[in-house]
Amino acid sequence: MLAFAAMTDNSRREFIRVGLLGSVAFLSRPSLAQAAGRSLIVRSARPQDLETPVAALLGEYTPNDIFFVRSHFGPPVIDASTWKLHIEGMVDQPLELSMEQLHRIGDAKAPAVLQCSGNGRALFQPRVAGAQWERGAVGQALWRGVRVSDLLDRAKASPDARFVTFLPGDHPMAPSVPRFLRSIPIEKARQDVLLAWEMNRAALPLLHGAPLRAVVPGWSGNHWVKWLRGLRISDREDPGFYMQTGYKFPVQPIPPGGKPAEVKTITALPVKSLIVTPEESAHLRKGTHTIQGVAFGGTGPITKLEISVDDGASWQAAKLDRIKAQGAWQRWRFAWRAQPGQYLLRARATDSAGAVQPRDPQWNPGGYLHNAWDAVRCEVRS
Amino acid sequence: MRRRALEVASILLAVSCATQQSSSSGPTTGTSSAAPAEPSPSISQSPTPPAPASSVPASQPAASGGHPLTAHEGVIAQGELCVSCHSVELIESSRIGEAGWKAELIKMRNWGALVDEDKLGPFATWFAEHYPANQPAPAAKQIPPTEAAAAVAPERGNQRTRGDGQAGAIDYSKYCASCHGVRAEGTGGGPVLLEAPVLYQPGRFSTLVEKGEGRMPAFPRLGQVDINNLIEYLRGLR
Repeated sequence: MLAFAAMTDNSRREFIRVGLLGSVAFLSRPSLAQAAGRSLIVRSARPQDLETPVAALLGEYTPNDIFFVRSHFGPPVIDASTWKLHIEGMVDQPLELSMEQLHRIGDAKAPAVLQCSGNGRALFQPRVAGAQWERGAVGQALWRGVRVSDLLDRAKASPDARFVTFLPGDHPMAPSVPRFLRSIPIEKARQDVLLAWEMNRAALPLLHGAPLRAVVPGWSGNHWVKWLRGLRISDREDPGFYMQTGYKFPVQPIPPGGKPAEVKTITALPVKSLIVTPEESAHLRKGTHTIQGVAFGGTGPITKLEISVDDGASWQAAKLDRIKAQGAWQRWRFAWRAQPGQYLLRARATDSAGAVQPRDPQWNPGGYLHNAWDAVRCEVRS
Repeated sequence: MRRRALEVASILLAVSCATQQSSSSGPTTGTSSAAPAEPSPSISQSPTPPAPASSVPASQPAASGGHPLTAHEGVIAQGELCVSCHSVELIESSRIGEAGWKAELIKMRNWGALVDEDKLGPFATWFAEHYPANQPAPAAKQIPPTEAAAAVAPERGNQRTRGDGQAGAIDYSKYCASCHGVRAEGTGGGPVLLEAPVLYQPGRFSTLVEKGEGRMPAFPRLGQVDINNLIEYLRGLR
C-alpha cells in the first residue's frame, strides 16, 4: 500500500507540474497488453472507436492501453495548467476549481465497469447504424477522483435542482453538429458518481478523458462524459439531441426492424455476461478446461452464472466471485470436462432482482444494450 | 459539390454565421467559378483555390438530382459527404440497407453535411449497393495500443515550435478558413481544429499541409515558417 500511495502521489504531482502534455509518458509505458502482443480492433480510425479484444478482459482490471475507446468527436488537448472545472446553474455558490483544488476536496476510489451502450451492436439483425461493436466495447478500471456529491454540497446546489449535466470539452466537427451533452438525475449523481483523474493507478489518458471524466457506476458509457469542463445544475435535463433523441430504448419490445411507439432514456446496464476463455473458434484438447469470464449489471449484484455447452438445452452453475462494489463486474469460472466435438458454449447471468439474460437480444433502432446469452464456438479434439 | 462547399464557406466568412447553409444551385462541372467571395481584405489576397488532392478529377460532376449515381460519382459523393468527419471503416462496416442509409444521410444533412435533398435518394441507393446489407463487412483492421495513443499524443519536442500568430491568422484566412471555419470551428467541408491534437503534432501537421490527405488539398506554397505561424495562431484559439 505504501508503494501504491507513493506512486499515485508522484503521478499526481507530475500531472499537475507538467500538465496534460506530460501525461503522455504514462501512455507509452509498456503494459501486459503490449507484452502479449494484443491489438485494438479499429471500428473507426478518425475519430477513434477502438474495441478491446475479448481475451484482454481476463483480469480484474483492463489495462489502460488496451481499454476500448469511444469518441464522438475526438479528444481536445486541454492545457491542464489553466484548466478549471466550472460548477454553474442552480447553485448558491458557483465554483471554478483547479485540479489541485479538486484533489484537496476529495479522494475516492471505485472499481467500475465501463461499457458502451452500443456494445454488441454488430450482433443485431437487421443491422443498425453506428460503430459496429462486437463484444469488446467493455472493460473495468479502478477509478480515482472526487465525488460529485461533495462538489454539489460545496456549491450549495439548490434543493429544487433535479439534473446534473456534464459539460464536455470535445468540439463537434462543426457548429451545426450538436455538442455531446448528457444529463443524469441529481439523485444518481449524489449516490456514487465520481469525476476521475486517475485510471488504474495512472493519470487518466487523453483518449479516456484527461484531465477529468465522469464515472457513473452501473450506467452505460454514454453517461461517462470525458474531457470535462464543467457541471451544470438544473431543474431539467439538457434539451439537445443527445438527451432527447439519441440513447433511447423502446419502452415495449418491438420486432426486429420495427419502430417503437414510445422510448425511454438508457440508464442502468442490463444483466450481462461475457465468456473470455475459451476464445471464439478455439481448438481444445479433450480434458478439463476452465470456461471463465465476467458478469455485471447496473441494478444489483449477479447472483447466478450458468454455463451451457449445448446451446441452452441444459445449464450448470459456475463459481461466481462476490461483487466488490456496486457497478463492478464479477468474475466467474467453470471447470468443463470436454469431450471431442463441436460446441456452442453459452453463458447466462441472473441478478439479485431476478433479471435473467435472454436468449435473443431486444432489437432496437440504436443497437443499444445487447445482452443476449453470450456465445463462443469451439472444437474439442481427442 | 466542391463549389457548394466554397459557397457555404463564403457565406460563413461574410456573416460570421455559425449555421451551415446549403446552396440550392445545381451541380457544377468545373472549378473556374468556384473562387470564394471576398468579404475581407485578407480573403481578397487569396489566389485561385487549390485543386483537390483527390485522385478523382475535380471536373467530374456529382450526380444530378433523382438519377442513379455511377460508381465514379458514388466515390466522389462519399469523399465529399462523409470523409471529412468519418474515416472509411465506419462507412464500409455499415450494412444498413437503403432505408438505413437514407436515414443516416438525412441526419448528417441536418448536421451540416453538404447534400441536397433531391440527392438523398441516389446517394442512399449507391451506399446500399456498394456496402450490401447481405454481405459481411471486410475484417476490421487492428492496431497496436501504442499506435492508438500516438494518434492523439503530442509529438516529442512539440513545445519548441514557435511562430508568428498574427501572420498565421492571415494565412489561415487565406488557405484554411473556407473549409475549417473562420474561427477553426469546422464546417461541413472540413473538421474543427480548436484544441485539436494535430496542433501539438507539428510533423504530422506539416505533412498534412504539404501533401494533403483525403479531401484536404496540398498547399505546396506554404513553407515551414508559414506552417509554424499557422500552428501558433491555431493553438491560441478557444
